[in-house]
Amino acid sequence: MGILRRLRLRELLLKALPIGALWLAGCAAAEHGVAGGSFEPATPGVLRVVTAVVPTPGFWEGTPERVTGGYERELAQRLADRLDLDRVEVETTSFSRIVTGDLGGADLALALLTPTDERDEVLDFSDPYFVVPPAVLARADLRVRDLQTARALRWVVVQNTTLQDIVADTIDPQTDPVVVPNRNAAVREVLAGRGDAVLFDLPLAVAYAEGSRGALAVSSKLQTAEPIAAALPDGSDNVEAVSAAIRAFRADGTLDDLAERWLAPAARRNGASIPFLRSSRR
Amino acid sequence: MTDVLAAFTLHPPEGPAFELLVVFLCVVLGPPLVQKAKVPGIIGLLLGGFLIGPNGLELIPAGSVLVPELGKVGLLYLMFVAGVELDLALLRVHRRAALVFGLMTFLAPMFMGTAVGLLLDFGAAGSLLLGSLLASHTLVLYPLVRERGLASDPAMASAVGATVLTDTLALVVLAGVAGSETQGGGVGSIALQIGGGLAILLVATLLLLPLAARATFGTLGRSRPIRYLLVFSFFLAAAVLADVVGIEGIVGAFFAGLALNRFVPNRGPLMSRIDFFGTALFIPMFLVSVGLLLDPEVMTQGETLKYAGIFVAACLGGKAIAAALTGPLFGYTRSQAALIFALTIPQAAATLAATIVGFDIGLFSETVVNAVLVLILVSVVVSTLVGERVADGMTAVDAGTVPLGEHVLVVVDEGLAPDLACHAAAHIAEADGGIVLPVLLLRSRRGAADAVRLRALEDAVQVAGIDADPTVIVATRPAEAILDLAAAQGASLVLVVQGHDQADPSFGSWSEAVAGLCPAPVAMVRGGYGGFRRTHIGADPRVDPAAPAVALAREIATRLGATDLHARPLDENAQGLTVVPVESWGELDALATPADGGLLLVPAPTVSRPTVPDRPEPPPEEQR
Repeated sequence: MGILRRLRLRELLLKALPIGALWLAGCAAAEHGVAGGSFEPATPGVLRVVTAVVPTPGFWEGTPERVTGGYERELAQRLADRLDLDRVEVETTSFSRIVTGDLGGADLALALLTPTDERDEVLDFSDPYFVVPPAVLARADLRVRDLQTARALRWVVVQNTTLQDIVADTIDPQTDPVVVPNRNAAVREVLAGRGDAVLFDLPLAVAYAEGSRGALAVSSKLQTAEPIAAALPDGSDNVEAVSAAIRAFRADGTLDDLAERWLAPAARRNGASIPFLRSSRR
Repeated sequence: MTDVLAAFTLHPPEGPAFELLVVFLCVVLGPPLVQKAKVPGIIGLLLGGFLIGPNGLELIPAGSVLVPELGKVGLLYLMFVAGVELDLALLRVHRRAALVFGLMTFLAPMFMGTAVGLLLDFGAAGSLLLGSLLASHTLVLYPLVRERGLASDPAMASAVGATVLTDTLALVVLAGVAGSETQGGGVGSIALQIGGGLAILLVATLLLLPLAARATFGTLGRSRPIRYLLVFSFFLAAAVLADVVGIEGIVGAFFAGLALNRFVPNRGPLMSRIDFFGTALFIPMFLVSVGLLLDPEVMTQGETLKYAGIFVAACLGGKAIAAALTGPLFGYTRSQAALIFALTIPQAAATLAATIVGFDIGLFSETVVNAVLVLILVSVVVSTLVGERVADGMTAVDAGTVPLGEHVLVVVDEGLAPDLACHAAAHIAEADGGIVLPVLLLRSRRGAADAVRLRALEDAVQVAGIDADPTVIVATRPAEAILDLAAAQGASLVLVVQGHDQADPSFGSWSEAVAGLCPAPVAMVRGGYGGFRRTHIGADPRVDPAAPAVALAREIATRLGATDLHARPLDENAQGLTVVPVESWGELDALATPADGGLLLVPAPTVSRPTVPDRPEPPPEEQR
C-alpha cells in the first residue's frame, strides 16, 4: 500500500469513480462494432446455417424438419444474437457437399468440421470452438486399448472426413474399412455387426455410446486433438466477425456453458477419464 | 541394397521438441538479423514468429497449442518484469512532475484513441481499449537514455516515473473493459465485480505479497533457485487470483511486479536471473507467439494500413501533446521535451498485451491486431530515430542524490557477529530497492577457520533475506581496502561491524579511519540482533539536533521502522536498537553496548549528500 500512498492514487481513484461508472454504463450498453469485424448475412437479418446430419447427438437434436437444440444449434443462435441478427435458419445437406465448398448459399456451416489444407482451398474457417481428440467407439464387448487390437478390428469410416484418414494412417487396419456416407450410418453398421468400431470426435462418440443403451462403448482416445471450426464460403468477408465472436464466447464462458448443457459429462475436459490408445499391449 | 534403402523412411518433424527448436532458432537468429538493418530486435522476434507460423512456412501449424500457451506465460512474465523493473525511487524523487506528465501522457492518447475508435465504429468497449493501449508505453529507449548519462535528467526521470502511472491506468482500463465484456449482468453487477476484483487484487498484491516475500525470502528462499521460483510463484499467484476475481491475469502480474519491486533490486542477482530467463525464454516466446498471428495478406490490406495510419497518428499525436504541454509547466527545454516524447511513444509490451487480450475476448479482429503490429513497428523506429538524434545534442547529467540504501556495503571483521548489520542493511536497502554487498574482512588466510566465518556470514545474509554472496577481503590495512572497495562499488552507505575493544586509544580504530575518509556515509554496528521494533534514537543531550549526524541517524532510524525520531538520553539498559548520532571519536569510544540491545553509531558524514530538488531550475538551452 506504500506505493498507493506515495502516488496519492487513492484520491485519484476516488475522483475517477464517477467517470468509471459512466464508462461502465457505456460498456454495458455497447454494441459490438467493426473492431471485431463486420458481418454481412446472405439474407438480411437471418443467419443461415447449414449442417450435415440431424440428429447428431449432443450437437443437433431433433429432426431435420424440427431442430430442438444441441451444442452447434445453440452456438448458431448465440452467433446470431452477437451479430445482431434476428433469427437462425437451419438447412441440411451432405457432409461431402459441405467439404467441397458448397454451402448452398448459407452463411456458414456448423458440422463438426476440422480445417484441413484441402478444405481450406474451397472454404474459409473461423477460429476453432472445440479442440477434441478422436475416440474409438466400439461394440461394448470389445476392449480397444492398444493399436494391435485396433488393427485387427473391422473399421467403419465416414467418407470425406479427416477421421477416415486417421484410421488409414494411424490405425492402419488389417482389413479395408467399410465406407459409409454419414455418422448415423456408421453407427448402424457397428450395431448391426457389420463393423466393430468407428472413430468419432470424442464428444460425439460419448453421446452415441450413451444413446446406445449399453451396446456401444468408448474404449479409448487418440493422443492428437483436432480443432473444430465453423466453415464459411471461400473468400467470405464474415470470417473475422465469426472468429471474434467465437473468441468472445470462449472468454465469457459461453462455450463452457454450451458444453455443460449439451455434452455428456464423460466428454468434458477432453474425456479425462477415457484412456489413450496405447501403441503396444504392455 | 535397394530394399534396405526402401525400408529406411524419414518422418516429417513434429511435436513439442521440434516446435521449441524452431522457436529457439527464431530467438537466436531473428534479433541479430534485423539489428543489422538497425531495426529493434523485438521486430526480429515478431517476424520470426510469422516466418515459422501458419501464415509462413507452417513449421508451427495452426492448431498447435504449445507455443501460444507458453506465449501466455511469457506475456505474464513480461508484465511482471515491467512492474518489477520500474524505478520507484525516481518516481518518489520526481513525483509531482511524474504524476502530472503521467496523467497527461495517459489522457491525451487515451482520449484520441477512444475518439478514433468511436469514429471507426469500434463500439464503446473496443474504443476504450484502443485508447488505453495507445496511452500505455514501454521504455524501449531507456537503455539509450541511461547509456548517454541522461537517466538522472529531471525530465527523463519524470518520464520513467510517469510510466508507472500510465501503465497502471492502462491496465485498469483493460481490466474494466475485459471484465465488462466477459461478465454478464447489469452495470451494477459488472461494476461490483470489477471494483471488488481490483480491490482484492490490490490488497493481495500490494499488501500481502510483500509480507509473503519478506517471510519467505529469509527462510525458504535461502537457496537461489528456490528464491527465483518463489518470485515466479508470486506473480503466477497474482495472475491466477486476478483471473479468479474476473480481472485479466496480466494486471495481476504487473501489480505483483510493483509489489515486489523493492525486494528485487534492479542491480541484484535475483533481478539478473529474472532478466536472464525472461530475455532467453519467456518474453521471446510471447513475442514469437504474437508473430504467429502476423498475416502479410491481412497486413497489406488497405483496411489494415488505414487503421495503422490512424493509430499511429492518434498515438504519436497524443504523446506529442502531452510532452509539449508538460515542457513549459516544468521548465523543460525543447530537447528535454523531445526526448520525453521519444521515450514515451514506443508501443510494445503493454500495448501488445492489451491487444492480445482484446483479440482473445473477441473485441479486436485480426485486422486490428495486424494494424497494432504496424503501429508497434513505426513507434519503435520513430522513437529510436528521434531519441538518438535528440540525445546526441544533450549533455550527461550528474546522478545527483544517491539514495542511502542503493548500495549498502556491510563489512564484518573476523570473529564478529554479522546478524544485526545484515538485518539493518537489508531494511535500509529495501526502502530504495537497493542491493547489499556483504564483505568478510580477514587479516590473513587461516584455512578451515575462514570457511567457518564465511559460512556464518552466509547464514546471516540468507536469514536477513539478502540476495548476495559475501565477498572475502584479506587485508593487513583494512581501512584502505574498505575505502577502495567502497569507491569501486559506488557504495551509498557502509555499515561496519565493530567490536568494542578495537580502538587503539592513540589512533582510533580502522573503522574510524574509514568513517573519516569514505565518500559515502559510514555507520558502526555493535551488539546483537533482536528485531527492530524498539528502534529509537539515543543521543547526548548536548548534541545539536540540526547536526548532520543527527539527520543521518534519523534517516537510518526511519528506514529501520522507528516512529519516534526525537532523541532520548542514552541508556545502557535500553532494549532494541539504539541509533546514536556521534559528534566526536572520543564520545564513540566511550559508548557501552547495551546488554539486551544493539547500537548503530552514526558519525557525522564526511561529505554532505546532495539532494535533487523536486523542480529544478533548467539549465539554459545553449549549455546542453
